[in-house]
Amino acid sequence: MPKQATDEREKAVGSAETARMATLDLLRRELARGTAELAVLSILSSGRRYGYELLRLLQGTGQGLLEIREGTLYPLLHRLEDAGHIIATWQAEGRARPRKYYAITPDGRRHVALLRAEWSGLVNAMQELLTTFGEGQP
Amino acid sequence: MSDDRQTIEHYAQAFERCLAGPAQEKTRSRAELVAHLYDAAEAGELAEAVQRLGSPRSAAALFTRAGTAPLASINQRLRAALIDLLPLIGVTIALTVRQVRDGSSVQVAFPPSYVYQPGGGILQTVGVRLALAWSILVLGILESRTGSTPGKRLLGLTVVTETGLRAPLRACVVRRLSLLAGPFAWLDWLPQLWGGTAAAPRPPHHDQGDRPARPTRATGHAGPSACHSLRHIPAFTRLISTGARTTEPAGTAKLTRRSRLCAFSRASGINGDTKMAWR
Repeated sequence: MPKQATDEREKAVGSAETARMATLDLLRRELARGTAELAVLSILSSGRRYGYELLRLLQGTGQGLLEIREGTLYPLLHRLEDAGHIIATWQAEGRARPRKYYAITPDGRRHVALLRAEWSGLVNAMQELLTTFGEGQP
Repeated sequence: MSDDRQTIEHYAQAFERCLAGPAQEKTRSRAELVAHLYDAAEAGELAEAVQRLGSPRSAAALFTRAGTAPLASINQRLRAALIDLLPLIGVTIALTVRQVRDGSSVQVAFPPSYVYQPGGGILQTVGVRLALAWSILVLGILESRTGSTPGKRLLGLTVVTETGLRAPLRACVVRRLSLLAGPFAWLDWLPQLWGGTAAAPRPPHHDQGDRPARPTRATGHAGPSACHSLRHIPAFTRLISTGARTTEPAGTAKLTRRSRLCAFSRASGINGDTKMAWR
């Protein structure tokens, strides 16, 4: 096979792979955006966290499946704070620089319970749908 | 770590220059960014964090709360404008009084004509022009540099872009040029008339956090619902309530340019359709 043809085929495969990854990346971001609130409040339910810690926990969940970045996280934290679901306090705790810790409020706990119930309902419904009409089904 | 510190400081300085509003609010946003970047540096991920954040301007849009702050009420806007335009109002009154005193036919125009008129006197030749220069240029520069004017400061208002950042000089000055276009153009400064919605008052517990940087006075922030419904309006800048001197519940208003309604936005190329160009 001529070298030029091989190069062109590799290039085509490469660009198809890039497009697939871009689509996947976009999909993950969209899904992450929709689930970020539940994810953040669920983490904060277990204890207070600072921003970067939250980001790392979210990014580490499901081997990076939750594509949450600063651009999603901080506006979300501000919104949750404004809504009264979380509160923020600056604390140094022996460090030279203070950190801003976020903690869930009783109102936030009620809210996360509601979100969890909604999420479970959605997952069950989707599972049922995928089982019924999934790939390979007539 | 020294390099990291330098990188963080440079980034934070550029970040702060993009912010508008009270110094405490800027300090709060900066502190949050710097804390995040130092945590990233400690984890050896500063470069990645900066890359994710993008330019200091885009980072500023993430960390500021001005983008979701409630919009200023019509009442606040009008009172602020009244204070800011005092020199122009004063000159207009003085011109009218002179006409009455001279016994000539009284013609009141606001703003008064700045075109040279024979026999206009120093009041018309210099006074009107100085008052207009104050109202358009000086206030425009002040808005761009500090996000406020004397009147707005007294009422606790800040001018920000749609994303909550400091408005560029050109945008501030061009917007103020509409003063010359007459009452129909002024209506464009009252976005409530074009479909503004009510903002929810800020929850009372809001100030419990953020102690080092956040003042105890009301900052007038509300939930994002305050402006989400307005997103469809091609906007130019927003006038938000930052509550510097007031604790009255945040109302709603928006200083917008509707490209179809306001020739100044079109002329400046800074209406909602093209705002990406000046972000």
